[in-house]
Amino acid sequence: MKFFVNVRYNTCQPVPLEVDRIATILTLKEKIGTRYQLPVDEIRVIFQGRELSDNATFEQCDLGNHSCVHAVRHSPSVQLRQRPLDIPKSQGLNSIREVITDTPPPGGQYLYYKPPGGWYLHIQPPKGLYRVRFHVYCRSVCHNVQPGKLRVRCSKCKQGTLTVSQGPTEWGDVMVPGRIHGECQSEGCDGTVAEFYFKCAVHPSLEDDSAPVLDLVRTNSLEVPCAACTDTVSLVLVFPCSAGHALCLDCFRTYCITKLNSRAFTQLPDVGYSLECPAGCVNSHIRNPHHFRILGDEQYTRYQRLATEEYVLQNGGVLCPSPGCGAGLLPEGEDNRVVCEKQGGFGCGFEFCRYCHETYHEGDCRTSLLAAISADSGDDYRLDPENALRAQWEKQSKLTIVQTTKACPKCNAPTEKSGGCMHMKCALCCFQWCWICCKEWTRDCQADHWFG
Amino acid sequence: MSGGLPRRIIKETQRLQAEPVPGIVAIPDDSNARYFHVDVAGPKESPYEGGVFKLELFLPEEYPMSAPKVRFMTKIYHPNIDKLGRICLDILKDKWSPALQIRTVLLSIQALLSAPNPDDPLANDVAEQWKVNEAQAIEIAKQWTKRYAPSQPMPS
Repeated sequence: MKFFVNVRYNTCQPVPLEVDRIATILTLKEKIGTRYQLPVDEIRVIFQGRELSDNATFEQCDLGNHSCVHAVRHSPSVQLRQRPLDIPKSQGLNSIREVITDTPPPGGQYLYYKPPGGWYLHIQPPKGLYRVRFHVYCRSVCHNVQPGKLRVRCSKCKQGTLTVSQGPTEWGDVMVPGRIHGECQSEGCDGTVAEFYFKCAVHPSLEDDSAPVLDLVRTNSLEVPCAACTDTVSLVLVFPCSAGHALCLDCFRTYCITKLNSRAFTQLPDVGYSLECPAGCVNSHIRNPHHFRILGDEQYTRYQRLATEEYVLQNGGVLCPSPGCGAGLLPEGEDNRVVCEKQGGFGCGFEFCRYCHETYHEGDCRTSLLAAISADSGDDYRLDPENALRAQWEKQSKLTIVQTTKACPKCNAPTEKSGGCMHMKCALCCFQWCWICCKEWTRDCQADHWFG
Repeated sequence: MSGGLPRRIIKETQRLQAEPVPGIVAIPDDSNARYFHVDVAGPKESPYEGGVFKLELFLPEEYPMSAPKVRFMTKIYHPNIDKLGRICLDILKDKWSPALQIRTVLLSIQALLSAPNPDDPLANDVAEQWKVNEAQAIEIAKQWTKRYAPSQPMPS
């Protein structure tokens, strides 16, 4: 297989240079010198915040096929601003095996990339060796959880020409901007702050390559069984609780979708719309919402919609009840008349009651709803027969809802009681109420009519 | 999970049989591996001592994301179990977690027999009796145990 290193000189587009896979950085510098007509001893190669020394091999520098390095030119008289990185000889990259096949990898394999050519680059970490520590959700090519690579660039010129004065030692160094400093080696740039980002390690580099990192997804080097299916698999999501409960990604998906279906995510002010550890541990909510991308595009969009709805409802807003609309509205004042105003491509113009979500009316909600249902539409004969039938259907449907449900005392969601005790918990707004009193659940309700 | 029974259920069933919980027997139905016939022995020093209670346990399609459905088949006088055998136990409702198992559920039910909680009742009349005259309630519970849950040799 041909081996390329993409070289970005100054701010030009990266140029792929073909080199021998087992060659050293000096050989690469010679190629760069030929390509850009530069004296070899004035070229410096920077990768991942470090200058690479001449005698290091690509393997030792963790340079894979199509890795992108930065080349800068400095005259030899200029003092090196930083000592080149010494790499222990024993540390090689050959622990990751690349296999090219023309068939898709077996189910459950997460390390694969299908380039337009039609073959699969199938990278397998060998058994017993767990090198991949970072995982990302690749949005651009793979649409899947993939091993990630940590990259560093200058926060000012956004080029990878910054050499760091010290490496990151914990997640905070990477996630919180401005913690790690260095010096940008680009000509004319005086940047001193390192900016970290992650990219998908599976497909060749793209122009804008950053991928959200999934800091809770780990290579299962401890071989912990999934808390739900009890299988031991290669990738797990470890919740941020003190016990570190782990779910495999399949069970994580099922867990999240089950909770989305029952709207059991919680909206927390400092976290957002999130889920806690399945064992119910304290302080175990997922704080990085990118993890919900693991659910797939369709469910992630649904997660975002429910999160927005929850935010609107928690802030005293209402959702337009008109079919197909659902716009989030924040009505001012206490007036029960809400208009879903048409503006900027949103809104449907529907006027409705803030409390019962039916067409706007004056007076008590239940009375007016029953009146609307029982109102005999005297001019039925003018209607299209199908419309008339449909109207009857809607009328019956509404009547059934009125007869079989009670409204949640807080958000008015029609609630049906199919069994169990009198203690109700609204699936929409989580309000806990009493089926008998139609008020907030109290100890008295428990004592007087909890059951029966 | 190729259409059949999830591996977790197979593993749990095997473990229940290989390392049974003392005083609890759970056997999957011949025709439905998600339906278990359960026998729970009344715990020592409880009014249910000496009795064997039959329960049914069903693992719904969503298990382990949703809780197993469990019901007493044997009549029992207990403030947290109603006359239909329904059990008031938080882990069977909102406190369910996929990290729990059939084994832990049955152990919790056994523990509930040792420690009836009349402040958290499902059967109001029983709870009332338990509060007003505990000695008498315990006596009734013992009688019911003798009458409805006579000890039989547990099926192997």
